[in-house]
Amino acid sequence: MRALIGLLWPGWTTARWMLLAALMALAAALLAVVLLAVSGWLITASALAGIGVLAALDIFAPGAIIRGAAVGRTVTRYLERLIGHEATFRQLAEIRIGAFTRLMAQSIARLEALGRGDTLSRLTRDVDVLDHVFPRLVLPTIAALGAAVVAIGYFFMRAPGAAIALGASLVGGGALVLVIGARLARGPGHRLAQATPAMRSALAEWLHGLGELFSVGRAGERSGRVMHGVLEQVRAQIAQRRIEAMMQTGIALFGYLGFWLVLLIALEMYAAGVLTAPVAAGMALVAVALVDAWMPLAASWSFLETCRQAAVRVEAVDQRGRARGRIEHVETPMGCRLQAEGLTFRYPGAIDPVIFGIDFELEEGEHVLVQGASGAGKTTLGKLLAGVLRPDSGHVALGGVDLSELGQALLRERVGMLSQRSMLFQDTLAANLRLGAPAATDADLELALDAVDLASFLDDLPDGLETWIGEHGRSVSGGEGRRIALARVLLADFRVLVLDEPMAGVDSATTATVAARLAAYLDGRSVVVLSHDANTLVRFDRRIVLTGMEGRSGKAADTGLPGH
Amino acid sequence: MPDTIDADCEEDAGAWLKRQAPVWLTPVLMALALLEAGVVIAQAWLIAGIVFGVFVEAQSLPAVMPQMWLLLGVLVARALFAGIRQWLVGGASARVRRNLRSRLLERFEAAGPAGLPPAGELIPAFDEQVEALDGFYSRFAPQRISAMIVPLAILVFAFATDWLAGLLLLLTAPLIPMFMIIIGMGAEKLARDQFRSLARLGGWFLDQVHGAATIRLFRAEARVGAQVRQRTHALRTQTMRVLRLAFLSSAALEFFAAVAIASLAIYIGLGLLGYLTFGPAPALTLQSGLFLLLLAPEFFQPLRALSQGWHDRADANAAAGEIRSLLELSPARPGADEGFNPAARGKCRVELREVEFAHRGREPLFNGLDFEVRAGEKVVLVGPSGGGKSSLISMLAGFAEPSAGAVLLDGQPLTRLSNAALQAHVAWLGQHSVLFAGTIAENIALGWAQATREQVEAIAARARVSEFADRLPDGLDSPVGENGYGLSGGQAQRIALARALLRPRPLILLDEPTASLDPGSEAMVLAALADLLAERSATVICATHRAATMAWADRVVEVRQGELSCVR
Repeated sequence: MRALIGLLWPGWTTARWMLLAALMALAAALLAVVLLAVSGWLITASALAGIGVLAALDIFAPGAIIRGAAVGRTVTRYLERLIGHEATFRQLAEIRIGAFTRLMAQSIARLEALGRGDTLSRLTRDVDVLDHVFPRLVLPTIAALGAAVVAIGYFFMRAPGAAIALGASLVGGGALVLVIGARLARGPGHRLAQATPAMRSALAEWLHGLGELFSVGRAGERSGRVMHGVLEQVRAQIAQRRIEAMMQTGIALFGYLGFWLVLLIALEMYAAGVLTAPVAAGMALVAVALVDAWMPLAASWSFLETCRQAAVRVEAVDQRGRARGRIEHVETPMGCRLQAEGLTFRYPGAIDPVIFGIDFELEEGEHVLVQGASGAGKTTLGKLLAGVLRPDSGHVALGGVDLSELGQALLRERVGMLSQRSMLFQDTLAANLRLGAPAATDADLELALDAVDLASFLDDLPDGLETWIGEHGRSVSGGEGRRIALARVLLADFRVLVLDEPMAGVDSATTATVAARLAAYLDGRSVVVLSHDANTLVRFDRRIVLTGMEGRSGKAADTGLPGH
Repeated sequence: MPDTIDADCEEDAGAWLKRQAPVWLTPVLMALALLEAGVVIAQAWLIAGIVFGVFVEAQSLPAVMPQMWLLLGVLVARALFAGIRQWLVGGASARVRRNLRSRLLERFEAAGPAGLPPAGELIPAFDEQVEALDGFYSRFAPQRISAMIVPLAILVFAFATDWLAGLLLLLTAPLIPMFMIIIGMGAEKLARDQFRSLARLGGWFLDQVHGAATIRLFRAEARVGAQVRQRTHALRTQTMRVLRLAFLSSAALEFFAAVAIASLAIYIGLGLLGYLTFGPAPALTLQSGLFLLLLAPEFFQPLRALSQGWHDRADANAAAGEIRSLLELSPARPGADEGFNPAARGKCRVELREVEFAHRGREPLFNGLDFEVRAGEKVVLVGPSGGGKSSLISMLAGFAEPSAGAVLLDGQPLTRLSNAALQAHVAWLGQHSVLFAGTIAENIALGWAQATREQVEAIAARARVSEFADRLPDGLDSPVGENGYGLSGGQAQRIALARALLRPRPLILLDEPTASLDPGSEAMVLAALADLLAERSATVICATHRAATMAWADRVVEVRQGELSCVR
């Protein structure tokens, strides 16, 4: 619960909108009560006046109240919805920015790991759930509770017994039902939170392996694992719905009981001569109207558990894997010489280190090609050099300053990395290219696209640089996407570049063309290219072959072969 | 989602959604709605009677106590009916979704690996889209039935009590459906547009979240964070403009309901005072007046609930379209005859006779293709992507059927083979193999349930799985896949190779087995493959980009635009 409140605690502007929306919700609920109560009062009074029990009655004042309440309720309901949406939208911005900021505090390595699974999609789904807390849970609760408090307060002055009865039954009993129900909903809510992702990942695994399962006749058998997730989910959902139904019944029972008691007490007080008949009738109808306001709370409060789970997961992203605090700007690196000593790195869960005792040096302006078989640790070495991963032992220094003592901002300003998972966003081509170079002109972008041999690709685009790419726009092939990502990293003007398989998915003719044109771009920068293909770079000063653990040599070797 | 949804389609979706519900649901909901109407009317009647008795007829409290107890009973019944309805629809909705998921899964299985849309579409359809149907069953369906029955029942009693009051309700009531139609036409579209913009923003946000690592690498977090704020606020400003109008129509609906109640109250008041001398007004008593006043909000309540549940219906209709298209996926092997089980031998002859084949909605790929592979021959297929290599392998693996012509194994039509016989004949290995959660040995044994431990170990050694498995603490019994050791692509592919070749089968199909591997891993897999094939007499057909690395091939055939030509 602390997680939920912490995530949803609004800023002052949003809070003001929320308060205003709550006020409107309360006013709407109260006006509904007034409408029914004054109508009851009027009818009773009229009836008694009609048969002469009551003296002449002024019908115009209550008539005006009734009309006013009718119009007022419409207006306040309208404003409640409008302002409620305004508040919800403002909070939505806050929640998203909050979630995004939390995400950005994670280390790059962890972000990459998260991106491989379902976690990030789930994060956005959770954020969507949190958007609904205010309109679905908070607002109706405030309206129902507020209206009850006002009505009970009024009762207390006229008929304390009725106030106590209504307070104990509707508010006390109702709150008890909500709290117990929300508590009971925890179990199924928790099971549901486990079952749904389990079902999704079982389905993803099954679909991915369907060819192999089909060919060995095990597809049907294995789909049972997906169905198992489905059944778990259904069981949890049914349990949840039953609790919700019980909550609804409980609220209604306590509410109706409250009304019944108010009616009984009002009649008794009338009989005792304490209350007039119209007031007694009006009081009974107040109770009827209040029960209506309390009814939707059962659904709202059984939704609470879903929100709590979502908040816990969003919070959990924050707690694991924060980028370790680096001491900002201890020293400014002198130049961009990259030096690594005794690098060793083992992935969690692996037995052997993938990198073991590697020394590496990259002089300013030097171009180095790192080759090696898969699993030899090319990518890992690249990530260690770019400061994305931290070595288990050994250290990397940029311009004489250890990366662990270098501020992230400074590191990311100088060292760029084209990772294998570099992502293109569903946005315009220009926006994608400007990710690392917001100030680049259109001419700069065109030049960079020409360097990666995408000039004719650009000519074919309907809206040129402003063409939307990705799912909802021009689809981009793997090779084209890779080259756009390469152009993007070239534009960003990093002084040190680590390029991991920059030509993945690009055919060899294009690779040769791009390699030739890249030379101009790379001149003067320090470059490490990690690739199995020696043709990725036209000119390199040194070549290093990683033999890795799998290749049996036990240790990586720096062959130091000169390039062409 | 298309911008305009065809009215017919939408109608159809509604009917389809209703058909998915258990047959008892509608009658039971109708019965519950009738009971609900009954208790609502009884409640109003009893309250009015009690108040009338005490205030007008000056009855003592003990005299009305029996009616009070009856009222309590009615109130309890009302709470229970509502609870029972919730209980039933909640369960029914969950079961409808379970059944649909089960049917989808069966459909996916029948359609086979070649007949399915990408997982990126299937998983959201299976999870979110099916989930989107919930509102239809657990909210909209009961609300619709209540909105049909409860107001009608109340109207009957209102007319019987005071026809002028009944008329007042009757005249206001059509205004509500009218406004619902306006909402249905104008505001619903606005609301849907707004919902879509919100979904688009959600999609954009998801995209940024997925690209978080890239954003960090380009130190663009502050700029993207500012964009999140700016886009959300821009959407808010734009949406609020729309909502100001959209909410007006539902406000009008509330207004009519409120005004109707208010006018009714004033009419009754004036009638009771004796100011109204026309129609049934002079006959009004406190009892009938209060009865009518109590019924008025109950009359409008189901209609208001229905208008609020309208978007549940819209969401469900949209989702239903997508789910239905998936339920209509055609099966991969419609002609399989489970009684047709020819025994598999060591190797088999493969023939394609006048085969025609086209992907759904595309130009035919093969047109009268004839191709033969001798028993035990090892053929490599090369050629550009999209040329038909994979389609050919798919047909031979039983993932897809030719639209005309025949595929024969040892002269027997492959399409007729029972599933069991097909699996006994054909081994298949694709490009992206999957390690399932479990141990390495379990992953291999998946290829043949009858295999002994020795057979699994033997194939693991041949496929060069043991080479890395031996260095894991539990050897072949080390866990892999989710929560297990992370293996490289080449290691996973060697496990998959062992799995595919565990059971000796006469036809081995390989579809780009090394295309997603880097050269180092590829060499390792190819060496394992060469070893394994050297000792098998089986017929082999392998699609690849790198024919040069497959020295074991007897023949290299180029597949280009549906034409086959011998290269070597």
